[in-house]
Amino acid sequence: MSEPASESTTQRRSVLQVTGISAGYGSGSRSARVLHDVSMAIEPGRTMGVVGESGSGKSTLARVLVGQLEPLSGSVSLGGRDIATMNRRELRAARRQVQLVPQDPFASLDPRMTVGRALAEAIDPRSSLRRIDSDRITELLETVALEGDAAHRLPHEFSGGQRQRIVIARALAVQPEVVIADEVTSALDSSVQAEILDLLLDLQRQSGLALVFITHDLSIARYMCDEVSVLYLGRMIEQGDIGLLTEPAHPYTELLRASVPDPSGRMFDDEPPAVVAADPGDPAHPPTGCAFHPRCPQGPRVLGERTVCVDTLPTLVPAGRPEQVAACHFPLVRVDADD
Amino acid sequence: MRRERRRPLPAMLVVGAVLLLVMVVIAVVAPIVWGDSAQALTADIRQTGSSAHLLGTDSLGRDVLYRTLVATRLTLIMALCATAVAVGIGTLLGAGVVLAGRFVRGVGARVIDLLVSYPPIIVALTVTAIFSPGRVSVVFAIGLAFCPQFARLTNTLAASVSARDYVVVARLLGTGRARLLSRHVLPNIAAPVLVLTSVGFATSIVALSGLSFLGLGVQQPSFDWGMLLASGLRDLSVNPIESLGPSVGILLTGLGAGLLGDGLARYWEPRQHALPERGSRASARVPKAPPVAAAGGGDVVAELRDLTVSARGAELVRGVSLDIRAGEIVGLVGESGSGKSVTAMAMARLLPAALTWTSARHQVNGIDLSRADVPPPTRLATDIGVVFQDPASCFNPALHVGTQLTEVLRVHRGVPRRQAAELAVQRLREVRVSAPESRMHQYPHELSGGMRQRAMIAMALLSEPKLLIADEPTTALDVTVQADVLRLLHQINADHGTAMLLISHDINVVSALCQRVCVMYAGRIVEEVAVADLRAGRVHHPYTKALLAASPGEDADRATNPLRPLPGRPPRPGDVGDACSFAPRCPLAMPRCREEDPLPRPTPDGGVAACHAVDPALVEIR
Amino acid sequence: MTSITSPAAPVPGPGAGAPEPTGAQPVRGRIARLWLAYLARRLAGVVAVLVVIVLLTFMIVRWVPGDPARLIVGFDAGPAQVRQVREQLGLTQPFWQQFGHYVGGLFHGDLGTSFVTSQPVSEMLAQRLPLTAQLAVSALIVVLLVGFLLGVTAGVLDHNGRGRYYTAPFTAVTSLVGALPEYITGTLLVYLFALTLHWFPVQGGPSFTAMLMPALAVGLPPAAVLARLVRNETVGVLSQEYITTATSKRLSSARLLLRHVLPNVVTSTLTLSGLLLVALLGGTVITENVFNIPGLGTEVVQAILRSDYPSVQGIILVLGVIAVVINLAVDITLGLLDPRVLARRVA
Repeated sequence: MSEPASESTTQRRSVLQVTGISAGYGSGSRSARVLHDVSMAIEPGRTMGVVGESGSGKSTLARVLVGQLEPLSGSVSLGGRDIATMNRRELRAARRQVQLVPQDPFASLDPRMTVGRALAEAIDPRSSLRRIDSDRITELLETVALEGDAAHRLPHEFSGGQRQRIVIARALAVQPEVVIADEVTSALDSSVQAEILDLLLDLQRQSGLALVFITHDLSIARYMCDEVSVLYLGRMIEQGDIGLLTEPAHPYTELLRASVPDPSGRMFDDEPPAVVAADPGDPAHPPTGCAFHPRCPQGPRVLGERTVCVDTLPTLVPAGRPEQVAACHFPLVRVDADD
Repeated sequence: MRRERRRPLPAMLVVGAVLLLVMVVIAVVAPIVWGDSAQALTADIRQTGSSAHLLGTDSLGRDVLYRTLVATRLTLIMALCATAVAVGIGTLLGAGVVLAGRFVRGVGARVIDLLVSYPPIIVALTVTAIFSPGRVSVVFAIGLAFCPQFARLTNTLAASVSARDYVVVARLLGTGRARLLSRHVLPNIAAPVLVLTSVGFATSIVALSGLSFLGLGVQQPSFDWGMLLASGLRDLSVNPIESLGPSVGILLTGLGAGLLGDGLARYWEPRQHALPERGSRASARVPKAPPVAAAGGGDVVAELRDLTVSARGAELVRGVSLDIRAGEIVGLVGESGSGKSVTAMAMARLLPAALTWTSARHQVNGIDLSRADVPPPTRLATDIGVVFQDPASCFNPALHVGTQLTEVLRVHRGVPRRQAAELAVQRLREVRVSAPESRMHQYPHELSGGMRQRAMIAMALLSEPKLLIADEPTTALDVTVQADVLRLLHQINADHGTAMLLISHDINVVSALCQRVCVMYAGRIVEEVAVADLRAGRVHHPYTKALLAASPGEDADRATNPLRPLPGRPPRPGDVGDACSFAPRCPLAMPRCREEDPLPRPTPDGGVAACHAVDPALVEIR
Repeated sequence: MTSITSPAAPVPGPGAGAPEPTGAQPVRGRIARLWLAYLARRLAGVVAVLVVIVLLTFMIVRWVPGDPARLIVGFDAGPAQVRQVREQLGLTQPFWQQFGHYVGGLFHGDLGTSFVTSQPVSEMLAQRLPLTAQLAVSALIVVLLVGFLLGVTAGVLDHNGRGRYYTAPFTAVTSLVGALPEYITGTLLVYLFALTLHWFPVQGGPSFTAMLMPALAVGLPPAAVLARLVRNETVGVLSQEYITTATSKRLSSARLLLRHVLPNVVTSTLTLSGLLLVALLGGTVITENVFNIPGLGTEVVQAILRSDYPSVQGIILVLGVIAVVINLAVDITLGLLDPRVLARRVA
């Protein structure tokens, strides 16, 4: 947040950068493109939040970032090099620098593999797992505050929070530069959630890890992230430093902000416009123009003269604070109106 | 190396294994010992059982018992071979298709589906017709006939395992395809495949004997059980006992293999974190606490005193008392396993039959519900409305939305169909469901999640209940939809004065909507607090404090005001003794906390907290 | 797509993405479209399977190792006789011409002539198919009646917490009966009710008394399997959240069962019972031989033993087509009963 405004994103060293990627599933007539023209750069020691509701494409983005899904267009760079220029060995080595912590700690550990073997596999996937480097494993378990004897136990002997620690330890075993955390706390109770968030922050402080933190929970994003990208129906609609969550330029981000259950109960004071009640559309067939227009409280459903929202897809333009961009024809905060 | 305690072998497994072992011994021994006796022709043709021939003799005067015993070897060998063919080809086909490219995977799965729907008997008949009846052709006939089933099962298993997160992560780590298969996929499908093999063996023995029985299998002079059975049927009127030997052989072997399979499946089935068995230490009865908070204003709509719910001897709810006044929204907050949902379901008399419960007093809108043996009156359906967590699963998928919405009015109030439908449409419109008329004729799966939850609320409100119980109504929803549903509940409360019990794990949701909040921990309400005090942080129980400190609120900041995780984990139900259940995790725990369970007592702010650390002196001053 | 007509349209509009119906008419239209797509897909599948079945039955004679003509006439016959049979089988023509001839015959109802009886195969099928069909349908009635009644009863008892008295015996009996092969059940029934008690005739036939035992022999084992299946599904459905919703409506047990439980049990068991129905065909073939019923099952065994290939081909073709028809019928019923099936299968 204290970055000097003069330094632009491209000049910083990014460990993982995607530019203009689109991605989807299926083939032929039944294919569906669920991510359109998304760009982001992830820097060491910083956390990029990805925020959106179901159908926003955030899980698809995670799959593209870790290399599980090939993008249909656009480029992916690892350590400053476009992966299209790498040979197979370089690519495999580069891919290992990006590790994933999936959402459900009960599905992401092989139930028949001891924790030690799971970590050994991560340290060297081509080893036979017969001889286990126990020092390294104990060290890894200590990093995530688990006792050394955990190595001999099976995943079902651990609680959800402990399992998520093991999954994090496994991700750290390859000494990655980027960790993609996909809704890592949504399966956990709130008291355990804080423990996992703390652990991730600690690890980042110690090793300068870059984090991509995917979440639907704005208050967690606010707590964890330095920058944030807001996705809606597969498109990036706002991006910038974390402060944008309190001062959004895009009406959708504003809607998200206003939707966070506020303990004070203020959210009931003013009734939102009725259009907001509509559900998001189908990500495979988003509405024309600005995908948000049918739900937008400032959009054509309320202000009829704003037909441009129906006809024209808005592009990301500078809005509000430095380095903040938003894809809205009528942003809530404008660059020129900022000062 | 620490190992899990060995679990006892299921009885089925032992019985099955013993039966099969006996059969194998007979198969090995019988032809050596009785091989000649089984072939010896005698003049005693078609005799019934006697001391000389226990099962009598056949049409050539041969001893049926010896023939049955000797036939065991051929029958078992043929069944083994047929199983091997079915399992071998089937597994290769099924698992191989999964590993192949995307196109082969899709087409392969469909072809296997088609093959499975084709009757095995036709395949078997075709093969025997081509290769003419005989023991080799019959083995292949049965093997090929059953391989589609194996292919399908291994295909489904392998496909589901290779889509698991741990396989995905291993692939990202750079584990090669062969190691993925040998390390993650095969070990995780080996157990079910072995179970299937065992069941497949039982099927093969029955099918093989069937073909031999028809005369399409083993040919003279060899003989197996099926052939002996055919001869038994021919002689049935003369020597009925002749059929007994081969029948028992087929049945016992089939049964043995089936039991072994079922037993293995039971032995290997994933361990569940089951509730502790009966006889675990149950906590001492809680002394009755005075209903402090219920003292002021408003009629009491629902009242619950000293509710205890147990499952197999473990107490899930341990003496909960709760009052809800007219027009009031009460929140029940706690982590998973705290007993909050069980309490809510008990309030609505919707506990599953497996749970037992008692209460000193339980009434809703004047209806006494405290007796477990008396079914609640139908009036309860119109006096309580219930909204569940997952709108996807709480509507009956086979019925139209309209049918379900109007059911209570039609059945209990005798409202005519058309009129009930009009009322329902009106309610749907009130909860802002778009195009309510057409929604009535749609099935639940055609509505989006948010729509379904609003329709659920409309259904709960249709009979204008005095009390609405909402069990995690927004947990399965997106943030914007959650906000919408919360606003809706707020509005209903404001407009109609409907009392509500809101259950949530999210302390922010509860403090946004409720007027009074009860915090549950390990089956007990540990603190009851007015929402103004909760918002201001004026809470007294260390658990409530910890819960607030661990939830990211607006003022949380990782540098200046970090979240404070709560160490440890809640006790398992039944593991709570006479001590305070929170003491092991409590920063304020003192010796007394480990000896004596604290009583709920008034706090200086007018709430109630069950904690020894809440200073009674302060209460006196007030 | 949505267009804006009035300046202020605060009507809560549906998400403009998915086509959302505004009246009853479009709903019906959409369902009709789904059905059309579903049937088109299913029928395309049926045609493909039929082609494969015809090809396979045709191939039976080609795949016989050695010379089928020699097998038919026996090893004593002279070369002239063998040549004659070869020509009769059409084995002298090129492969595709033979196949075209075979398919052409099928369209005219010509399935060849039996080597043994010299009777046209189509005539034999017309005589024997009705008895086989009668046995299969009677068995089906046994399966559905016994399986569903027993299964639902056991499931409800189990859910009400009274299961501990019934569950173990139920599982034991259904496992045992389910594992009984038809030929053993058949033999046992003949011994008990025909030879000992003289209630029913030994020989099966079209009358009720003569059909009851064969139908039980074919139907009881799959009925036991179905009963177990239905019981598990009933217990599963009863523990669903929507049943809790229905319970909160305090309906009578009859209404709860008939309106809320049964439709879901039927749909979830139907997929599996389709396989059971197809398996009934196998049981029918075997049981006909136990009770000596002159149907397709007895004939196919004799035909195989006598190398009467035209008869074998004809019967296998008919049985295959019946299996395809049963599968289609089950799928269509499933689509009618459970609207989700349509959407899922078309997507």
